[in-house]
Amino acid sequence: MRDYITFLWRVARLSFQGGWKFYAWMTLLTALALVGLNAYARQLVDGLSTTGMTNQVSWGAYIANFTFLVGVAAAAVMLVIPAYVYKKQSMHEVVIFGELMAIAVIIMCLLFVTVDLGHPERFHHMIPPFGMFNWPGSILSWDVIVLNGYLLLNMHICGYLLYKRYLGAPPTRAFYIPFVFVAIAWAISIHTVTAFLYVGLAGRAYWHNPIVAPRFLASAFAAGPALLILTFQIIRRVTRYWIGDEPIFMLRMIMTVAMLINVFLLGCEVFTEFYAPTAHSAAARYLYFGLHGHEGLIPWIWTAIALDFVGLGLLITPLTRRIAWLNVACATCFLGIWIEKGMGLIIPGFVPSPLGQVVEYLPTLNETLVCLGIWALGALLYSWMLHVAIPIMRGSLRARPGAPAAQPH
Amino acid sequence: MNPPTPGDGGSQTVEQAARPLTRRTFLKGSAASALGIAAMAAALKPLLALERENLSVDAFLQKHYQELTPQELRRILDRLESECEQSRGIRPDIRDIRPREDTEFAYALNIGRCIGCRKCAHACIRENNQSRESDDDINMSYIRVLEMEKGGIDLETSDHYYDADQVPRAGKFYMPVQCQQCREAPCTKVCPVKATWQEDDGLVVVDYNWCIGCRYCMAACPYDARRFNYSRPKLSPDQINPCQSYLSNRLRPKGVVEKCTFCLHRTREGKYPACLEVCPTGARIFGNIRDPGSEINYILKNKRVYVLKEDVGTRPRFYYFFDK
Amino acid sequence: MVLCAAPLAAGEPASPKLPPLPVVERPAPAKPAVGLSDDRHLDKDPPRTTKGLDLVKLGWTYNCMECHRLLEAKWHYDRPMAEHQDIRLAHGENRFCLNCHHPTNRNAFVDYDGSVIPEKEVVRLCAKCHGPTYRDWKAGVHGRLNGHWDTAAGPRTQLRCIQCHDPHAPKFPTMKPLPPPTYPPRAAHAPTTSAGIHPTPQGGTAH
Repeated sequence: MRDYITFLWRVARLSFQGGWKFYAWMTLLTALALVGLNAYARQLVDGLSTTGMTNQVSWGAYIANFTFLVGVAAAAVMLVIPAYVYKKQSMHEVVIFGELMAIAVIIMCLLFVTVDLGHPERFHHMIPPFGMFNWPGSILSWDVIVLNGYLLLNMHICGYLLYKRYLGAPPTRAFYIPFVFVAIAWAISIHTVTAFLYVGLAGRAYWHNPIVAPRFLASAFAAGPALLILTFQIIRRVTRYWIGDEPIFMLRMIMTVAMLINVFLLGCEVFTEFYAPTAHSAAARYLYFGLHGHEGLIPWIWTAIALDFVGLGLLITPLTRRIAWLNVACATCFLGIWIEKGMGLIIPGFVPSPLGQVVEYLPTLNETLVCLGIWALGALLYSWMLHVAIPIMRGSLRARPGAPAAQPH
Repeated sequence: MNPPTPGDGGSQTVEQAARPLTRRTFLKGSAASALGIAAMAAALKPLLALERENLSVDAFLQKHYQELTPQELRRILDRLESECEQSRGIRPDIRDIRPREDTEFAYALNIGRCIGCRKCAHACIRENNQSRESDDDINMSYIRVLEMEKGGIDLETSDHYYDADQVPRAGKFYMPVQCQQCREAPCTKVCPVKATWQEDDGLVVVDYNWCIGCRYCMAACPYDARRFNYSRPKLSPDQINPCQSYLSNRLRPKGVVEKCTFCLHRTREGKYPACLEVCPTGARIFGNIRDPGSEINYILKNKRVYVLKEDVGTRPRFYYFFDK
Repeated sequence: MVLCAAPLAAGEPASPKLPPLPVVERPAPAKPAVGLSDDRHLDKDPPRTTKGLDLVKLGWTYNCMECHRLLEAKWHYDRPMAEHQDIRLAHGENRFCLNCHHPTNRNAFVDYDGSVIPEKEVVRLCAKCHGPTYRDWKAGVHGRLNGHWDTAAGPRTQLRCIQCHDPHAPKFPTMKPLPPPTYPPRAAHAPTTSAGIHPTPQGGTAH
């Protein structure tokens, strides 16, 4: 116990130690997060009228970002499966970074849901002893459970392994292996449940479609590894923790397959909507070509499709065996999927409205600042976790400095 | 079993590498902390403008409507009445009206008679105290009147904004849509906190003091029947209908969802809903579906009835019918 | 036989020159109170707020027979009558005054057998031809009910045929609709033209 308190104290001290670059980066992120907080404070006072949402388009950028990020969080499993199921040694060196990312991203997800609420102070209405939790009826209550569960699982796994490493003692398998395997299934479930949020609404034809869940997973398993590849290179460049090329190329392979499936499923959807269009294709028509002269989403979706195809084109060619091109592919895929799942999936669900009204949506400045603040906070959290975890992984933060470094888990 | 960190790692701990805590670093740290706290305070400054009704401890601790004792409910109604008096300058009469025995409400609308005059949509907003920018603003009305092309019922070609000199226009027909009080209501199913539910008389209601404002019910509704208070409702004292009830037309706080309740403060006392009272063509029929002699049962037995979007499985209590 | 003069007010000996004035049975106010008094915010006026002749609208109340006992009823008129300028008969095939108006008691209407239907029972007159509509009206599903659906809880009023329909031109008149909703003010890409807000007829794509 005393060891643990010392550990926490040393981690806290370490959090504030770093070079000027570290300080500059963290200050920048803090400043951005505060800008977001300021925008959120304004939203609390004036209500959600500070956003671009309306009665017709009642969800916007917040829920779009939430949906996308649940996928990114779930994609940590793409490091865990090779490491633990296929016992790839090289993946063991990086799996912790995926799990830490999942923690930061899940926190972002929870924040995006919170800022979307009209009455965040009534959040306790969801917590059983004080509130009335509509479980198992509401998929949103399932989502609350699976997201928080995933957060706890990853916090436990990361916390336990890092602490053991700090102590220089080998981790007890019973204390983490079962959780790792639960987390694998759990990761799939968080994104499936999030897809069911939409799929479960029979009144929204654009979402009431079984392909949404598999497409969610496919796009998540492309976007998540894309972000991980980029992160690994930043880690490689700015810290002294060496990440080899093997995990990066393993992720490239996963990403290529996921992206192929994603684009294939997109094609299936486009075929169904446009080859035999029904009254239910109106949303797809609005998205791709505009409806009744309203064309707000056309630039977004075609940009997303262009980015997806550029990314996929790079991934399937040998070009991306070179890191620079791989980075381009990761950036385009990440951005493409972000648009496709946000402006391309959430917004058309509301346009046209169930009564045929075409009301368009764009986030307002205040709404964008809140989003930016949450992204900054997520980056801040992840940077902090890496800042603390890397010295522990390297062995330069250890309970007894003389003790030999523990083996990687 | 290679250690993951080749090279120089492990020879020196991070703390050894860090600068020791000196007076200089301490002062620098203090200055940074002060700056951080100041920045935090500046970011949160808009919160000073929060209205008092957002900060009520009583409202925060209030239980779900269905768990309230009669005494608690009485106190809440008193509190809501005086809050309204303080903030709006008019003291309403807010009652808690329970479902009647052996009553289940249903509505029927004669699609052949509706001429699209929008009197129902305007009466709705006068009756139910929705937010409005002007007397003519019906964006928050629970009723949307759709102008449709004759020759089909294609909602996608409906026009919500028609502004003809005279209605009905040639080649068009009109279809008002409001909450259908579905028997299989998707909105109540998805609410994560049970802030919206179906009462024994079939009315789907919202506890505005329990709703967390997630708007999942709005996404779930196939009839666009729900409205969200994106800001504090705008109403002048002379626009307020003081005859109110807890579950229907009392003034809503910002950030909650509201909807048509078939004017339960009227209908549970045996009266007709406001939209029916003003309909110039008598296209609207309302009544108790459990009473075999009611007008609504006459419609169901004798007319050709359809429900909107039967394919989504909501089983509405709102019927459309033709009679010629 | 419709043309036969029905017996007038009973007991009076018919004057050889002019028949005596019949008793007038009118519904009391021109605009009966509708619904509940505490609903002042709701516009419950019956659609047809005026009825009767121009002179009646101006406040002149008189017994129709003051004139009509001098003017003999005719089946055919070849010109709009100077006395009834506002009447334009557009009631389908029903184009004779005496189809509805009583030949010898112009304050009332005529039944199949030539007997009198008092003005307040005008529904019975309309029912002579509009059977199914009358059946619906009696069931409370044609025309408007106001007040209480639960008559145990309070009163209910029912509008009569001619409170909505002009009997001479019964097609329901067109009216100016109340103002429409607007394109939501905070929504993106508000249409710049007033025409741009309406959907294109086919719902097709507009590039």
